[in-house]
Amino acid sequence: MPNLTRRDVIKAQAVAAAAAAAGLPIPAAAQNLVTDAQLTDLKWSKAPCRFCGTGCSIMVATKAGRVVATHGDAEAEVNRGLNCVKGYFLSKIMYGQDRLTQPLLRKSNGVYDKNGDFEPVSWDEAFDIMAEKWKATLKAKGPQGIGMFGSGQWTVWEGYAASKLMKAGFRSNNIDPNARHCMASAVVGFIRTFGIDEPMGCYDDFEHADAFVLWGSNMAEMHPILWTRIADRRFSHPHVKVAVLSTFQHRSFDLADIPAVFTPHTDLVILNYIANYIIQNGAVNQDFVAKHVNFARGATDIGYGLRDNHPLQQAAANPNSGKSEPMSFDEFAEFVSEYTLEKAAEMSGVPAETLEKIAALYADPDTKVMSLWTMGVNQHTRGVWVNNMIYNIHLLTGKISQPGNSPFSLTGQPSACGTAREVGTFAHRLPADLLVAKPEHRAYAEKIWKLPAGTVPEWVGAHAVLQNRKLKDGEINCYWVQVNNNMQAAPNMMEEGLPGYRNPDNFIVVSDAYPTVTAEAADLILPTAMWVEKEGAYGNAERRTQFWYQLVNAPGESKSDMWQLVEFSKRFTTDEVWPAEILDANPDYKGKTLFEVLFANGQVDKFEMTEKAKEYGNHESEDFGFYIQKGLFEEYAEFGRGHAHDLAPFDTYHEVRGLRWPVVDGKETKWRFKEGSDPYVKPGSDFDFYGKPDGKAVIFALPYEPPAESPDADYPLWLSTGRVLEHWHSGSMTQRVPELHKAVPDALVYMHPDDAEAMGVRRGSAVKVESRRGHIISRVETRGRNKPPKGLVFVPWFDARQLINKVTLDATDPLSKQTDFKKCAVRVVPVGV
Amino acid sequence: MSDVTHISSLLLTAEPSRIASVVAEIETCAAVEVALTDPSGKIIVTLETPSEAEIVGELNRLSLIDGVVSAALVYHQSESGLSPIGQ
Repeated sequence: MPNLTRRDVIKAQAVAAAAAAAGLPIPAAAQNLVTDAQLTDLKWSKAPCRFCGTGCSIMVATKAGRVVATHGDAEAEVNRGLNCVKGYFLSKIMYGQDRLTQPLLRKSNGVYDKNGDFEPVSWDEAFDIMAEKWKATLKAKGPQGIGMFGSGQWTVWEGYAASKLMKAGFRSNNIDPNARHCMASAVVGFIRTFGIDEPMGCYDDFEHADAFVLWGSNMAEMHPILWTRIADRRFSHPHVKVAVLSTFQHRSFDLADIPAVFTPHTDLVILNYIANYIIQNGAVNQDFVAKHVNFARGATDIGYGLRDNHPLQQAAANPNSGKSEPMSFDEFAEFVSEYTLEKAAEMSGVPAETLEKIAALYADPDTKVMSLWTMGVNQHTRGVWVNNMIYNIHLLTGKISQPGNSPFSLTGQPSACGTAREVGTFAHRLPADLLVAKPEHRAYAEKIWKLPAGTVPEWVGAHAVLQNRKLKDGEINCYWVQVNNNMQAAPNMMEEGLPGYRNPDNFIVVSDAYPTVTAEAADLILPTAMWVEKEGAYGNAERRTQFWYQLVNAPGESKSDMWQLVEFSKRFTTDEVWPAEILDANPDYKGKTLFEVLFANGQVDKFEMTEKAKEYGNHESEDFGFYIQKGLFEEYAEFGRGHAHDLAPFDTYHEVRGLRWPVVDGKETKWRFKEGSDPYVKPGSDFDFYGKPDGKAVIFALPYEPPAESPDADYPLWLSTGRVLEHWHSGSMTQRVPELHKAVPDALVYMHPDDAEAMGVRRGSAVKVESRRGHIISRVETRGRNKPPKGLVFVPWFDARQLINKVTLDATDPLSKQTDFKKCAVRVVPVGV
Repeated sequence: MSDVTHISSLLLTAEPSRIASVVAEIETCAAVEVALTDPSGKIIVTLETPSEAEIVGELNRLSLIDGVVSAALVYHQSESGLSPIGQ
C-alpha cells in the first residue's frame, strides 16, 4: 500500500469503528487497516461513563499517567461503541485548571473561623477539626445533630462505606443522597406498586417495542445514546410509533409521530383518561388482572411536602399520607370514568385526537409499548402518583415484564440505582430494599455487619430538603457533603440552602474535585479523587453493575470519598459514640475505633493485597493494607444474595461489561417477574410480583390534584428547569471542558416569541426571572432547541452564574420528598437597556 | 499554529425518506465527508478539523439539520504532522 497515508489509515479506522457501532458492514478498504500497531501505543481500559444513568461503557486510554483519549466501547451492549458529546470529552473532566489538590479550611489568624478565608491545611489538621466538631455535636445533641449528603455518583463501595459509617458507626440515619432530587418518586412508585425497587425490563426492550411513549422526558438530549437505539428501531421498522409528551417542545419532538404539549401537572389527568379508555374499549387483559393485580384507593389531599407550618400543608386533609384501601376493579372503573376524553383534552390542552392516539397504543393488544420517563415525572409534587399511574396502564393491559412491553424509569445519575438505591443510602433504607424502621431488617443488617443488637437506630433520618431546613434551624450542626453540588441543585437556595450552610452554629464539610458553589459555601473543603482516579463500581438504570480500575493517580493530595470516610472512622472510639448500654452488653466492642468495628472486622479486610490487579494502582488499598473495595463489595453483596438482588462475585465484574441483577448461577436477569426469565418467579405462576406478599402488583386509584403554585396575575408564567445535552447537572465537570463550555456557555430563558413580545423583550434581551423567593438575570432565547408554549419558560440549571434555584419552590412530593423543579410561578421583566 | 489534526467519525440517524437532502446539507462543510449511508437512515461521516472545539460545533450543526434525529460520536484521534505511513 505505497500511496497510503497515515491520514487514510486513521480515517479508515474512524469509519470502521462507526460502521461497527451502527451494525453496518465495514467497507472493504477499511478492513485491513484497523489493527495498525502504530495506532495502539496507548493503554486502553474499560470504565463506565461518569455522567448519566445510561451506563455507557467507555474505553479509556492512558499514557504517562494521564488519560489522553476515550471512545465508546464496541463490546458494550449498552452503547455499542457510541458516545454522546459529554462522554466524548470525559478525558478532560479531570484536568480543569481549578482542580482542588489539598484540603482548605476557613481560617483567621491561623485558627478555624467560619468567617475566615480558605487556607490550605494538611489532612491531619482537616480531620482534627472535623473530629472535634463531630464529637462536640454528638455529645451535645446525639446522632440527630450530625448529617451527611451523598450522591448517585458515589461508587457502590463509597456509598456503602458512608451508609455504614453513618448508620452503624455514628448511629445516625441523617444520611441522604442527591438521588432524592432525582429518583425518589420512582423508588416510592416501585415500592408502592411492586414492593421492590427498580425496573423489571431492560434496554433490550428498545429492540422489541412497537411503540415508545415519552412521559416528560427529553431523551434526545438527556439520554442520547438510548435515543439512538429508539431512532434505529423507528426507522428500521416503519410500523413503530413514537409519542412524545412534554410541557414544552424540545429536540425529542423531531422523532415524534405523536407529539403532545400538555399543561403542567395534567399528566395526572391524561393517565387516568388512558386507564378509562382501556376499560371503556374492552382492552383490559382480564386474565392477567384477575391473577396478578390488586386494586387500591390511595389517600388524597396529601399536601405539598412544605414546612408543616406552611398554609398549604395546614390546609391539607391528609398531609404526607401514602395510605390506601383495597377496592374492586368495578370501583376502579367507576373512579376513572370521570376522566373522559373531553375533560382530558380541556384540562391538558392536548387535542382530543392526539390523546386518543396515545391511549390506543396502550389499548391495542398487538402493540408492545415501552413507556419512558425521568425528571418530568419524578420532580413532581405528585411524582409517586404519576409513577403508580403509568404502571396502572401497563398492568391493566398486562404489558409488562416481557420484551418490548416495559414501563421504564430512566435515571439521571451513573449510580442512582447501583449506589443510592441498591446500597440504601437514603435516610430510611438499608441495603437490598431493607428499611431502618423494621426491627427484623435492622437485626439482619447488624448480623451481617457483626455489630451488637441495637446499633442501627430505628428513626427515619432527615431527607435532602429536610436536611437543609434543619441546618437553617440549627438542628443539624455537623454536615458532610460528598460528590454533589447541592447548594446549586437544591430548591429555594436563598431561603433554605445558603442560610443553613452559613448558620454560625454549623460546621460544613464538602468533598469535591472542584470549587463548586457548594464547596465555596462550606467551612472545610476536602480535595477528592474522581472517576478513574480510583477503583469503582456503578449500577445503571437497567440493573447493570459495572466496574473499573484506578487508571491514573489523583492530583496533589486528593483522595477518594471512600478513603476519606474510612480514614475519618479512625478518629472515633465506640466509647465516644455508642451508648453505655450497648457497650455494657457487648464489652468486646469497648475501646475499639470505628475503623476496627466497621472496616477491620474480619470481612472488609479479608482480601489480601495480592488479590488486586497488579497492573493498576489502588490508593485506598495501598494505604489501608488490604483490598478494601473487594471486602466492602463482598460484605455488601451478602445482603442481596438469595433475596432477589443477587450480585455476581467481585472479580467477575472486572472481566465483563456489566451484568444485570439478580445474577443467579452466573446468569443475569433481563426481565423480572416473568416465569422463564426471572429465577425468583414461582413455577407455574406465569407472572409473580414477588415484592408483594401475595405476588400481586397494585393498581392505584389516584385523582388529579392541583400543583403547589400556579401562575397568577403577579407571576403569570410557569417556570420549568432542566438540563441541556452538553452539560451534566450543575456543570461542575462539563463547564470545565472548554469545548463544552464554548458550545453552551450560559443558561438562557427559553420562551415563546409572543410572550417575549408581550413583555417588550426579544431574543438576546437581558431579563430578570423572578418568583416570590428570588430572581436571576439571564437572556431571552426564542429560537433554538427548546420551544415552550405560551405561558411557560424553561431555564437550564447548569450555570453557576445564573442560579435558577434562587427562584424555584421547595415543594416536594409528600411521599417521596422529591422536589418539584418543573413547576412554579414566575414573571419575566426586562432589565437595563 | 499547532499542526495537530483531529480526525473523528460520527454516526447520524436521519429520517430515511430525507437522506438525500440531509447528505447534501452535511456536505456543505468542507471538513465533513460522508463515508457511508444506509437505507435505514444511518449516515457515517468523518470530520477533519484543526481543533476539538470544531468537532462539537459540527456535531451541533449536524444534529440540527432538518431530518436528523440523532448524532453520536464514535471515534476520535489527534495527530500532529500527518505524513505518509512508515516515515
